[in-house]
Amino acid sequence: MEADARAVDAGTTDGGWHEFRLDFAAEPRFVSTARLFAATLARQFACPEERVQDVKVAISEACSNAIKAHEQAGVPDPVQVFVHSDPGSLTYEVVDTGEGFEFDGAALTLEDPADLVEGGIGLTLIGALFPGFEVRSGPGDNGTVLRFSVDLPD
Amino acid sequence: MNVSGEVDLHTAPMLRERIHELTEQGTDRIVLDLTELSFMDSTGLGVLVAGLKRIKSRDGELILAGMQDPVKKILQVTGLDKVFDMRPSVAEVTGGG
Repeated sequence: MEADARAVDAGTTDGGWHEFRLDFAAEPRFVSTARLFAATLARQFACPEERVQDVKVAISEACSNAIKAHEQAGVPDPVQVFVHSDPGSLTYEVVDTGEGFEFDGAALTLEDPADLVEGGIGLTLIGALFPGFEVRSGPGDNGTVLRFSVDLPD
Repeated sequence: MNVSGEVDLHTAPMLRERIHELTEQGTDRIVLDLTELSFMDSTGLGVLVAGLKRIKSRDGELILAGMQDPVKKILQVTGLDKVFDMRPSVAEVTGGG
């Protein structure tokens, strides 16, 4: 069960620039840790609750992909989540050092929703919630960086 | 069947097992009570889709009841809300209350 992160002092977009980082071992049980970390920051920077939920989904998808990439490549490294705030937005980056992949932007539309492609549906979901998201990867390359931003209220 | 908490990469396998058990038992209608499900991502969606296909192949039905808004949104965004039978509550399904 998730702790109530609303207890965190929320509500000031103080116009600052801040950096946060979470490293965790590439194990499925830590996806929820990453969600809690990401959601807490989103609330702390006064994101509307619906966007906080969107952040949780995107982080969950990205971290799940990262963990699978590490498992496939057999790398012992942690997965990293970087969060950067500026006065207008909160930017999340999920970085892994696993096997890269071919990212076909055209595959983002779901023709038959019941035809869930392993790993692909996660990116479709991220794209629906954060249309400006970016992925840097490539087959055989060293790892993947997935980045998305949420606008902060004025 | 009650599904509570969060369904993701870590917890989805347990849900998959439970749904598999129910379909193996030959149940012709599975009702998933999702009122206490606070979060689900695509891993969970995959489990639900697989469960739906399996039960449909036995002429059964899978009903999702009492979905919270964040979970509903994920189904809407992926178009899966048109694929699943979704009800506001378990009471609507059983006709009780």
